[in-house]
Amino acid sequence: MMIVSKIKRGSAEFAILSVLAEERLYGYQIAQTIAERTAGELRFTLASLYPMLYALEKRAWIAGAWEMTRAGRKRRYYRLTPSGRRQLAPMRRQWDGFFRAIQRLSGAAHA
Amino acid sequence: MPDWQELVHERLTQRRSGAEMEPEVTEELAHYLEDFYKAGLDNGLTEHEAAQRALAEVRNWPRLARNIKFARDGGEMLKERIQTLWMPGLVAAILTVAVPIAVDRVASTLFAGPHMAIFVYGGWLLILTCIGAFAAYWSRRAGGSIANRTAAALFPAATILAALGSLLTNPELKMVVIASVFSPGEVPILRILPVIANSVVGGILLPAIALLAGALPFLREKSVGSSLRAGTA
Repeated sequence: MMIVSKIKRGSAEFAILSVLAEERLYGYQIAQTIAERTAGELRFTLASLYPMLYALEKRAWIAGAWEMTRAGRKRRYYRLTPSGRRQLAPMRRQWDGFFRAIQRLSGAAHA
Repeated sequence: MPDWQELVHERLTQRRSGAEMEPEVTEELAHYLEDFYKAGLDNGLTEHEAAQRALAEVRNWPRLARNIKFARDGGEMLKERIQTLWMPGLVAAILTVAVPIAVDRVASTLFAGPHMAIFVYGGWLLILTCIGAFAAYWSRRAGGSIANRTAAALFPAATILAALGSLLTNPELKMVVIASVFSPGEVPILRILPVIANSVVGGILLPAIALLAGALPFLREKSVGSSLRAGTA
């Protein structure tokens, strides 16, 4: 089950960095955006999201800061750092390659 | 509406969680649950149902507290560094020391003669390329960055450098160098410096080049493992 764990971990990091590459978001928004964009295939819970956000922040791939929302609520917004952006580009290539490989395998299995 | 901040604080700091949580973490998690709860109400749930749904976001609070603490303390990074740098590097360093002993024994039975030292040294450099390749490969498999793979491969050379450095800072050797300056006839400095230079070139520089040469094929592309790292999601 090691590979499943690795894929989950890697895809979760990729998903977070990808949504933050477009705009700064707070935790709940990150989870919602990922769920919406993946039609519910990837869904974070609080328990899975925050340890990962803090780990990414510790690596300085993302940075969090408290701000007020338009509705006047205090929220901690995360944005992608230049270092995170540098990580994202090769990650995209790797995931593209990975899915192409899986599709080829899947196609071969159905042929 | 539940007092989410109080609720999160209570659950995160409950017995055996093993973690004292910073207030800003408690506040952030409480805001998340509050948003989740309000979304439930907006979707037509009752207050009780919405609260239960929000609480279901965390099944094991002590585990969450430990995971958060681990992530905030840099435990993830440390674990990653151990797997991608320290482990392959240390094993490579041990092999670098252990293999010459074996090579020496084998060579002494095969090439007994005046050139044996050259054969042993040449064999050692050849083996170092394999050790460099092995360390870089291990680091790449564990998801190491190019910098970590390079460092893991060069770890044995760094160990030799540290050992030589500690020799050079040895007080007795310092005394010899100082004595050679004041009485060159007794301990000629010109005789000591080539020995040190030979040690640096033969003991560090050439081994480092051999290690790096072995590592090169594994330094090219970024590892898939680095984005498919193990952990909890």
